[in-house]
Amino acid sequence: MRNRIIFSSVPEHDEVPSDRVSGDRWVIVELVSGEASRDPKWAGFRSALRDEIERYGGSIVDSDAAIDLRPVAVVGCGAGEDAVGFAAGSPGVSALVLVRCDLTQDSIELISECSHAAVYTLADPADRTILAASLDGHLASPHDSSDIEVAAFDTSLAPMVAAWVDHRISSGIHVEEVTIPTPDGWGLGADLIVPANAHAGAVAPAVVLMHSGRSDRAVFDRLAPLLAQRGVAALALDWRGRGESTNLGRFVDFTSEQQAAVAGDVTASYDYLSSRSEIDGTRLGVLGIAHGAGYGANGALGDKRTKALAMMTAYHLLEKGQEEVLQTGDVAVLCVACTPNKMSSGALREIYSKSTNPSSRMMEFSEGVLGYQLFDLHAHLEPAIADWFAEALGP
Amino acid sequence: MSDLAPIVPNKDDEVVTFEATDGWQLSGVLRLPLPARLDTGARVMGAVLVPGSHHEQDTFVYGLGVPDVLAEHGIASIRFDIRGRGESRSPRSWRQLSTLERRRVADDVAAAADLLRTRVGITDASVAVISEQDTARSAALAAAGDPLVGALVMLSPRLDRSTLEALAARRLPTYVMVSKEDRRSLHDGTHAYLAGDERSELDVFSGLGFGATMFMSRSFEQPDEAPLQVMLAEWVQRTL
Repeated sequence: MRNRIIFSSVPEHDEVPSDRVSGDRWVIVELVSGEASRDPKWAGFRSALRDEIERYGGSIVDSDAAIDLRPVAVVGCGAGEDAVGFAAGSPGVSALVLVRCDLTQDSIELISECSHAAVYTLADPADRTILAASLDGHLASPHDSSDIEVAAFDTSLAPMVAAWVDHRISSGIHVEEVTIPTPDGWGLGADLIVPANAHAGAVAPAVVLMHSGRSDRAVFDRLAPLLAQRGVAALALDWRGRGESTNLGRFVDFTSEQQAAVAGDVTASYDYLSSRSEIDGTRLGVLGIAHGAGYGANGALGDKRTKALAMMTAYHLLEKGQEEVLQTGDVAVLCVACTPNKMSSGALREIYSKSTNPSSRMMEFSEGVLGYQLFDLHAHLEPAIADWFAEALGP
Repeated sequence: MSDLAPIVPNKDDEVVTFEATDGWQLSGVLRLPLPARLDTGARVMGAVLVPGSHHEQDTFVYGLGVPDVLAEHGIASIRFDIRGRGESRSPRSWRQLSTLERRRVADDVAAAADLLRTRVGITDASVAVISEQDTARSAALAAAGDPLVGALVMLSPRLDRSTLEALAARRLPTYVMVSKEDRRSLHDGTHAYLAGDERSELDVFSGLGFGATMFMSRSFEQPDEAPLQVMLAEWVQRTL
């Protein structure tokens, strides 16, 4: 019986897109244990996979090959330890394909920590031991794009594997590390994640992501691509004094006046985004967490370019001028609160109550956590935030 | 918005740089309370503060003052940036490290414990390792493998089977602080507590969030309750 569970998000390509056949676009590293390599089923599958990969402009190499700057995927068959270890040991690997792998507990634990690589698991229901281990490995993966195919193993799976790897590697977004200068001398490190179609001539709205006072832009590693996949560019910022933006000092040493100046980083970010040809500088927004939400609001409210503002677990009280901005309805507001945090949930309800924009929303959670910690507890939250920005900043 | 006061340099603080066994350069701050600085012969305990991967060494200081509270209880401390974070970001940042490279934070913890022992003159098991969230795994493995570590504190720990096995084999005194809405840490932390010896303690809170930020939430939302910093320091003092 053929039991398919996958491909909720990956389009099945009847034809390979026309831009996928110009030279070696990506590389698959092959790691197959001895017994599995002698399996005629594997030999047939490998041959079919090689043909499919070449159609996408990829190639198969062994693990001793020199890996250049091309995107890398790994395919493993058999024991699976080598393939999992290779992927876990290489931050540049973005996709791992496990074909009928009998994973050990150690390999499953490695997969559970391997957030940089999506895992695509092929398991044959006839291999009962492998099926259980494969499922455990699949469920352990923290990557949103990980998937599993439970099906009789044959060459018909090769096109699916090639399409999945290509989809993972050509995920429709463009990531660029940038440094944004401020008028007072800070160099702000940031990741700019832009929808791929914005590079093809379209312009995208953009959101500046402001982390909390104890963290840095890395807390947006999942949210930023989700925004870009919905057509909204994301600028994940290390605001002054945090992360890589410490050329003039550290946030923890700031006086109150210096802390207040963090709001200026929003303006500098807006100016930078407006200078980019692929960004629509009239449709900008901010998402801020805790202290970052307060600085974000101070920088965004009053700037005519702001069309959307999201605040998570913020302790921010609106100034009169900021209230008036919300009452005009020009800015949509998303307030994300945790009810047990009485100070911040009260402040956020007050902010939400001032907004007259029909896209404004209030989300309240029963847990008493702060900021990005909510992302860990509620897997739907980041997609919901991305959906909200796509609507609020839509054309 | 409630601004936090800037960190005021403490006269007993000393910026230190040190090396993990694989040569990775680490940066931190030693806090040596009076008996340790004067070499009075009085017994001094020590604590290694290990931030989670989203945080830097200042996370235990900024608005929390954990080294101050430890020092008040006669406990010297070292706080440091794990590899890839803060001042320990060269040659690569945390996000550029692979899963296996991230596990080497255990080496960072071991090196920090060695430095602390050397500077304070600790020769017995009078060092505690205090960690939070994801790096609790590496911190716990370092503690389990170091006979001179006498206590383990974990805030909202994220652990795995092999770490729990190592803790069960060592049976260290273990203090776990977790807030119950953090279900994964509640599970892992409870098993870590069960793996510890009879001096181990488990405190399950409600509505405080994750890691070191639980201390902040406690002071904001439950100001009439005992500060978590004090509970932590008292347990370490009692246990060591």
